[in-house]
Amino acid sequence: MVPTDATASDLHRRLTEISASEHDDASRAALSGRHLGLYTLVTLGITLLGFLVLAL
Amino acid sequence: MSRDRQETVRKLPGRADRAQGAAGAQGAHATHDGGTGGSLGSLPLLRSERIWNSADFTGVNISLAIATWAFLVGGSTALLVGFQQGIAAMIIGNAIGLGFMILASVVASQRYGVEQYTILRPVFGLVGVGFLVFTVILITEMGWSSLLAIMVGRAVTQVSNSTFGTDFGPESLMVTLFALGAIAVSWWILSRGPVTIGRFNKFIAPGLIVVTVFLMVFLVLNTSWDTLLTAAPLAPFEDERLNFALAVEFNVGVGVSWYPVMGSLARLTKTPKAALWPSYGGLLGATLIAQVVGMAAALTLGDSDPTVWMLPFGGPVLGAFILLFIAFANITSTSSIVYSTVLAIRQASGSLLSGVRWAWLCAAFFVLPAVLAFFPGFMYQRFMAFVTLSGAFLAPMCGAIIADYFLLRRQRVDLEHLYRHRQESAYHFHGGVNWAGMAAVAVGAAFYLVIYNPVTLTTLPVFGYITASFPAAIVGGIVYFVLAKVLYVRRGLGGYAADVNADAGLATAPEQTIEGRA
Repeated sequence: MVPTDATASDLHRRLTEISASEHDDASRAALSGRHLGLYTLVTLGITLLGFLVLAL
Repeated sequence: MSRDRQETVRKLPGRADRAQGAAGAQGAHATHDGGTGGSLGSLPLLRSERIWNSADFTGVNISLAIATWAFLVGGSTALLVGFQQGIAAMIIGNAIGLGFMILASVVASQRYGVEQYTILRPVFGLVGVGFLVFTVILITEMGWSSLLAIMVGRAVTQVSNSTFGTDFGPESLMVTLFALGAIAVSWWILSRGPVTIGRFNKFIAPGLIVVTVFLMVFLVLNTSWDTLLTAAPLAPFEDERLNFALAVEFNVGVGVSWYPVMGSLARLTKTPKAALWPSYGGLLGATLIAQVVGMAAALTLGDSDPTVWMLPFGGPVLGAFILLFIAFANITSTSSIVYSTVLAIRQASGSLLSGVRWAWLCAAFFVLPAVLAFFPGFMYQRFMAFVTLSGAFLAPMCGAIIADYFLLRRQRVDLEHLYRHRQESAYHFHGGVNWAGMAAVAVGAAFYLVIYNPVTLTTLPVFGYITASFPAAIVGGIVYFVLAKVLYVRRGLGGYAADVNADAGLATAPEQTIEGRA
């Protein structure tokens, strides 16, 4: 069992490190509007492909 | 619907081992610790701990998707529709179901590196998440665990019948006994920790790819394109529109039911792109291939149960070997499902279960599946109800999560507040419950069950046009958006304004009390 104090300490260390050195890191970037739009279009496109299969 | 129709729908199976490899994947990154489950728990991951790029995560998702559940879903779709309509239903259903499930589960967990039930706290509150985990997630996963075990029992008894000339039926006591044996082995694997699960899954996923290729080769050699296209569905209703809508809804439900495992995997990826596209492409592509093969096999042999296909396809020796392999694959899948679920239970319980040994927690989980194993016929025939009922709750959950994360918080969550105690957390809401989130799930699920009730099999005419899961997700999202605005955003509660104003939503150095568990 991980001791509670150790876990709290680890969490504190992680939050501090994230705040200090990962603020602008690519791993913590928001999903861009471009990718969100593209994702929606791809989903719609594949759905339409399904209806195309049905219609053929 | 008539009794015949009801029986037909009850024969529909659904998702099984979508957690195949999930625990193994996490285990690859985890420190083995049989006492805690050996994972990183709910702590936010650092850059150095994010190990997967796009190619890695695509492989993980393909190995998740190529599994016995896909054969089951493909075979079950063949009960309702023929080959061409079935392919259309699978494409449409999985595209939609995966489409909104991934937005709800993958994106936030990836950005913050946080386990998915922790990142849910802004949407449902700490107590609300615990309630959902102990109801929707727990009951669903217990049901699936028992089904996988019963499938093992059926596979092994078929091998026994073929090899030793026994005559064990699909609902016989021997099926139950082998199912109980499968549960015991699953518990043993699980009690060894996620590293052991990962070791087994390393050869289970490639083995199932071989089984898929084997089925494809057999189908190419033994049936024709024309035969497949003209094959009649195995047990359809009279209404063709209803058949197609049920097939689509079934596949949407299957796509949505990936929810319980995806976020916790995605947090190991390096960028948002490496999480989003491999999730969608990997799951969709591999799922469709395996499901189409399963559907073709079912239409060729006239039976939707994959354990019935292998002996006619492979003969007494190869067929028996494949059945035993599938049985073992189901055992490791059960371990994976229980791993992620028990981990979620432990984290959602606060300090209540933090002192209980990992092996005992897993044993407690298996009690109900073991009892259900005594009713193999009931469980096997009713498992479409599990898929669709879980979809009825998971879909509005996804809708609420999307509304919260993308519309109200603009992809910004205060990382530190996820771990703060009670009133010190902006996500404490009222008594630890975000009532907008809980109401969204309740109203969305009620909307679903009015349109399509999988227990009574009553449907409204509109179900034939719009199905149920996707509309329920939209209803859940709208209810959440409106109630959250009224109850919290306008009153400055719930950290919405702070989230929007925070720079990238990342934590400042924490100074106050934080939750001391992971």
